[in-house]
Amino acid sequence: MRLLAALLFFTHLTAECSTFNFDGFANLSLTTSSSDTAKIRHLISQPHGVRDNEMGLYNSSIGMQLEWQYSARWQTVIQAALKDQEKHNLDTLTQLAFIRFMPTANWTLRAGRTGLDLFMMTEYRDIGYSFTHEHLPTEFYAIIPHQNIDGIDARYKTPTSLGLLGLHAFVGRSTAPIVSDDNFYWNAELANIQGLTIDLERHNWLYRINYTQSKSGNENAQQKQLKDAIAHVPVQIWPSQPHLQDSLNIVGKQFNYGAIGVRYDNATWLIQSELSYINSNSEVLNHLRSGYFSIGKRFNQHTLMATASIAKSNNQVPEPPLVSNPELDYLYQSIIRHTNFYLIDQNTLSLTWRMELNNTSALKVQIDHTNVQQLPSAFYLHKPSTNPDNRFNTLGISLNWVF
Amino acid sequence: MLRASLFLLLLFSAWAQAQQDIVVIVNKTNPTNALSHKAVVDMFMGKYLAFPDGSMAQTYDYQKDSQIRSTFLSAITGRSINQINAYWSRVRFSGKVSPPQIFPDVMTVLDKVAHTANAVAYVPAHTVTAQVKVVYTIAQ
Repeated sequence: MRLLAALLFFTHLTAECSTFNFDGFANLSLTTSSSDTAKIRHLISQPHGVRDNEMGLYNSSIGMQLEWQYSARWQTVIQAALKDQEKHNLDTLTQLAFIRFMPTANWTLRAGRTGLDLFMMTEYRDIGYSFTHEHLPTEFYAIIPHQNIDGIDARYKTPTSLGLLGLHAFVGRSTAPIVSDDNFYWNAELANIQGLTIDLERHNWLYRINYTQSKSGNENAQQKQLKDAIAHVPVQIWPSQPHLQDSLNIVGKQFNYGAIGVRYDNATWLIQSELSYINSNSEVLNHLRSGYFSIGKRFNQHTLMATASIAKSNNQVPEPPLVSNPELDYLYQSIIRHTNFYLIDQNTLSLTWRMELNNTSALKVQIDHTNVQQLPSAFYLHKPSTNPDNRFNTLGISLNWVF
Repeated sequence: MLRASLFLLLLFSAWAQAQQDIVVIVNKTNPTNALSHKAVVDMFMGKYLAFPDGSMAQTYDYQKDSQIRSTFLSAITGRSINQINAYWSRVRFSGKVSPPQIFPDVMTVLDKVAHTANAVAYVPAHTVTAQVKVVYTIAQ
């Protein structure tokens, strides 16, 4: 709120020959799935999902953007989006709120809340009209709830003999909710974010590489309770107790994100792929490798695209205590649920059809076939079951437009 | 008689062609005399807003649904207007680049370019005035 007020005050003071641009986007998205136990969602922030042939509109969203251009060099951008979230307030509604300054054609500086330039499509993942997929590949994009960063960034662009080279450096902090089963809610903070993205555009090709590091800025109530509980268990009864205690100490732990991506688009053929590697010095998320490959072809107003995506982590199930009793068993199951949150091993094959309805709207249909080696999974919400459904199909139909 | 008819036909064709051509214009005080195709694409797709001497360019454009915008952007990029709008929605809503200033008609654009030193815009060839300089032509 204070950030928004400061931005508006600043722009008021400097306004001269200003122009306003008011734009918006909307996605009406229907999802259904054959999954028996996993409730399908597209981001771990979402508190709702669909299973057992239910139909849901939880992936729908609407947003508006106000851009105030008060000179060729200075602009203010404010964007708000309404979507499926556990809590709705000014902070969660505000996607962008920043001042942009372009001192030269090469440099762009921004301060405030900007998009988090983590993966190729992270910054515009809410704008369904912007991309061909009905929804972004779950295995690659669902795991990172953070979409924006409060801080400053600098972008440098220059033409070279290789193509248009861009460097983007950013620092700041970000919070985003992680929602899971049993009313688990954690407004996870990434503190001390430092990232660098290098991209190169040459003819129909875009090459992109990013490295970002951050530190976990907070912990959730469940982690605190588990730490308190396990602290009372003697090492003689549970030899891995110190290790588990440390793994639950998440505040200050470093998280690293690395990604490479490439896109080819010659107006008829479209190829896009990204690979990422996420690790931390916390047992909560040890290593996660993910990637996807998409190939599509346009036929006038229609685009057909096939996508294969995969994600696999190497999280380990912790050793149980040497003694079994109801209290210890309950504690062990609680810790497993915590440490297994990021135990991920799955892949999806998708087929997408996109049809342009007019110059600013499109209809998209996508069928996903998913094989899951590990359930429950951070990607989904779940119906409790001892026999989870590891193969399922998901259908998504969405109407996307910009205005 | 036949020669005269052919001459008139050629003259009419040339006039009709000039009616359809779109030209990129700058302020007449701008030192730029010509822009490359790549520079035009970079400017009007918001990729790199600079003239060949490195000075910053200010691009002017028309409403999203205007015919001249569709014709011009499709001609320079080789892409459909749907693809171009999808591209601009990525750039605009991710907050990376400010879109060009929008004006309602060609006359307003000509007037703005005539009075703005670093402006660059596009207009139908037959509307060009002495107050602006043509730096790139797209023959339709």
